Amino acid sequence: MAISVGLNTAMRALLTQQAAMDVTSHNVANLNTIGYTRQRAHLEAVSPVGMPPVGGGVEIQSVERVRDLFMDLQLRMESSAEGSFRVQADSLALAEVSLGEPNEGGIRQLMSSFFNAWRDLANAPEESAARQAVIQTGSSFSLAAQRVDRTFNALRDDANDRVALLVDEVNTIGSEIAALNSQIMTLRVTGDAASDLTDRRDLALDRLAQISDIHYVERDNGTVDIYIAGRALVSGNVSNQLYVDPDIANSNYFDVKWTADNSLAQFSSGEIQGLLIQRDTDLPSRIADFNTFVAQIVTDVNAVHAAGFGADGIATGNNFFSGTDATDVLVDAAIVAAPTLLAAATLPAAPGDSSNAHAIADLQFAQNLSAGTQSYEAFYGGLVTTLGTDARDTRAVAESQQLLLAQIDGFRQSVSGVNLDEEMVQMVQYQRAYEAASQIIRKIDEMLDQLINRTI
Amino acid sequence: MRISHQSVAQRLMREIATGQQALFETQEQLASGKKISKPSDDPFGLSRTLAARSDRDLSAQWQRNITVAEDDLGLSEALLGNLGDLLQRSQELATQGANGALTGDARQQIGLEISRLLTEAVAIGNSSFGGRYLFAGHQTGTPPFVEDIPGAPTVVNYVGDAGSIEREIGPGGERIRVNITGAGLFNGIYSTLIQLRDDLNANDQAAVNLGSGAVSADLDRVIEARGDIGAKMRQAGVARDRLEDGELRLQSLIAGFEEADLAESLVDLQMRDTALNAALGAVARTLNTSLLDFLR
Repeated sequence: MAISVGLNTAMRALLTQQAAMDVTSHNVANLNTIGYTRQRAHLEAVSPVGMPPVGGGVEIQSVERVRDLFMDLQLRMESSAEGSFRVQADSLALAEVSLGEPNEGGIRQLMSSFFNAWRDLANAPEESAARQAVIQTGSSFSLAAQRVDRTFNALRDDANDRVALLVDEVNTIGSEIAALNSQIMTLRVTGDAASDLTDRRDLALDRLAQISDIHYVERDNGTVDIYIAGRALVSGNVSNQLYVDPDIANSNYFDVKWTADNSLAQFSSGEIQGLLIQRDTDLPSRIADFNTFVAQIVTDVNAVHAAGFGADGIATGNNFFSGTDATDVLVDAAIVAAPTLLAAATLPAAPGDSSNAHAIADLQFAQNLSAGTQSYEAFYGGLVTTLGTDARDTRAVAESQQLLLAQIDGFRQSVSGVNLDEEMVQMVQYQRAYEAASQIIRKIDEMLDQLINRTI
Repeated sequence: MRISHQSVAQRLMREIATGQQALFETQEQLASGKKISKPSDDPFGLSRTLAARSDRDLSAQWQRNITVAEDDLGLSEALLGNLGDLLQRSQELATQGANGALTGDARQQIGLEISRLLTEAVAIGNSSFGGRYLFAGHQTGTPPFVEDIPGAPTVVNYVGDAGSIEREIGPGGERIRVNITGAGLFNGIYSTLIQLRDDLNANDQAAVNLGSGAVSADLDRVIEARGDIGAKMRQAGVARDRLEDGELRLQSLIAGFEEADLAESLVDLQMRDTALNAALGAVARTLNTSLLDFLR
């Protein structure tokens, strides 16, 4: 057996340990890279050739990502739920603050002040200051009600805008993944594991899973196909696009559709679904409840007011509020212009009569809502409590979901993340192996020296 | 379990963030003194305090109404007191006028004084306060009593109405009437005094004698009306006591739900501060421990 075989073996060992060290170096370099999966050089003994059967040393069989695909699946499933609850919790948090409870200046306080202003007027129907106070508290209440309505609707508009942005992002990610698929496929053919490209694709998938619930399949050729509600977003190197289409039947809010056939895209979880729930279901029902509340006050106060008489004892049949609900309620312009029109009296020509003011103040206790079972305040209290409870619960679910994600990500990291100490140990291992291999070359060199120069 | 460099960093950052958030919330509670700053802080507590706050507003309103009612009643009471004194004096004069030894001239003299008292009584009936005529029913803008011949009326006409003026002083529409309408009480007094004046001027001793009885009956009615007012003022006082008691309960209910317990918040603050420091300490130590320190 030729002595050069040993030299070759040692040479191969040097190169292999060096290459393995390069992998370690790559890992250390990407210590802080988000989405990076640590790589491992798989070393393999080279089978013996010839006689005697002494092995041919070592070579790198492959460099592979250390990744647990099941954890990816779990993480992405939970990401969608987290995304949905997070955007809903954000929206509800803003909605609940808009009511201004329990602080002074909240709807409750303004309503209470309004009815109490009528009681003050009942104490002094002849005094113009008392009339002004009724008009002023009525205006404050009206404007605050309008503000709540506007804020709720602004939250819907905001959700709508964000749906459009997210649809753009889905398209971008889809195209990116399709392009990556194509590159990965090409590299795979040449025997490259395309680890770093796969990392980038996995990171894109992580983000996509927050936006929408997805189903995905990894093919043998290294590509991944992605489906949203059974429809392919990405198939190999082709990505299908979504677009937003204003729906006239829904305040011109966007429908999300597939470009291919204009059919509606379905989302059962993720940020887009959370936003659609807020925009189309949750907020509208809260707006409707709030408007029911305001509309009842407007109707009731107007009915009693119109039956009474103004300070001149003649003016009657006037509404106190103009508008119908929180979208447009205001103190009637005629009354603002002429406070004497305020109908404090039930009887004509009775300036000292304040029984109509009493009757309006009494509306505060009337159970005219929820089929005659709730006063304004009880109804509104229920509305606030429901909103508060929903805001709290949704936030709690989002937070527990975030905790779960952190945990799963921890597991994933424990498989895929880089541990510096581990890499250092590997480094020492490869370094020692490299040193040993070079020692062998020296020894063989000495052997050859013996043979060539000293053996006469 | 393998620990990756990134997950250590992420976990530590998460712990610091959580610690800071918790600390911030306690600081906020301490600064504002409030446990509930938005509905989701305690939705059910909030619904209780919302109702309690409205009840407190109402209680304050009713207490204000009671003050107004007491002013109204006090004013009427004082005026009826004046009217009573006036009738007392009229009765004395009538008794004097019924004396058989009196000459016609002397009776006319007394009649003159009755006439002056009548004018004064009409002025009391036309009392106003803050531009409101008190005994005019709902016609608070007009003097309710009009003499057919000013200064020497043969009849005093009531141009007010029977309108009731009420103040809401408690829950369930509890109201008290604060005005006496002139028609019943005052008209009787005026016609009695007119009759007495005329009888004195006519030197009709027997009629004057009868008139003295009529004045006495009027006086009884005034005393009775004052008694009514007294009863109403007591009712208002009882309502006020009840509201004040209730207000204390409402205040403590609201405070219980909404206001942060200072001691509790301070302990929380201390605990959360300690937790955050522990997290920071962990960062300082964990991130600095590396095999690199030993490979030389």
